Amino acid sequence: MALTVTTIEKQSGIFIVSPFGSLDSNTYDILEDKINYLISEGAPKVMMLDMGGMHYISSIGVRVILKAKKDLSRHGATLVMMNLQPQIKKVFEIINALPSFRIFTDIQELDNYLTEIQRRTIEQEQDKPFRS
Amino acid sequence: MEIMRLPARLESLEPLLSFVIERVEHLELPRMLTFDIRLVMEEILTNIIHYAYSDREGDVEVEYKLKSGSGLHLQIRDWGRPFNPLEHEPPDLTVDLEDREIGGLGIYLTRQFADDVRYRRNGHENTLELFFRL
Repeated sequence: MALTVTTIEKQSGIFIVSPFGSLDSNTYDILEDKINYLISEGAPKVMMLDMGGMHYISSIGVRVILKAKKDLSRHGATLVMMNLQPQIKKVFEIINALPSFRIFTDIQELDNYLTEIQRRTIEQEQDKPFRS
Repeated sequence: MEIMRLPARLESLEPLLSFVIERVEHLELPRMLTFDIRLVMEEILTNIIHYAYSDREGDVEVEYKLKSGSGLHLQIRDWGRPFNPLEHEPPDLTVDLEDREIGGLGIYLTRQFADDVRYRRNGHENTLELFFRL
């Protein structure tokens, strides 16, 4: 089974990564390499995994995603997911990994989330003491 | 009853998985069940491929048996060191705690997705029996 990954930079630092196919022992490195590349070159703030095209995942695939979350968080960025197919969601649920993820229903929800982040960032900037 | 036996190497994973999944697909099961069977097979086979034989070469064998009225019986055999995946995590002491926990994920998923899992050791042979109710 194969895996292809497409990436869109929606806004500066906001990436939508869409893996298509199967994330398993033979393909996990494709996603892992792509994510590592984005982390080192892309200055990511938010990485959204659109899982709509992923129909199979094994524990090594889950490991890649959990590790990506950890790596991104070390760089001050977040990993979120959306469009999990039922069998994929079931795997995350069974290992009790879902609570640690922000899962979005659709792009609109992601846009609302990003707007909220930007709003909070602006507020924090405004609260800073004026520098002369 | 059908059997496929290949060297316990990563290149054998896909052929062994296809051996089972092609037969399962003929049964026209609900999609979730085919997914579950593939996932469990992959977890067990990758465990054997990585840990059964350490430095030497060896084989892994998959037996497929469909019992009408009962279900699907899969047996996975290897002739490596005694290893009951139901009791142990793969003994990799070089990875940190979080990774080790993830390594045990595969076994945990196997127990959750298969209806029954049994292990036995006969002489030099490890056999893991899986049962899926259809």
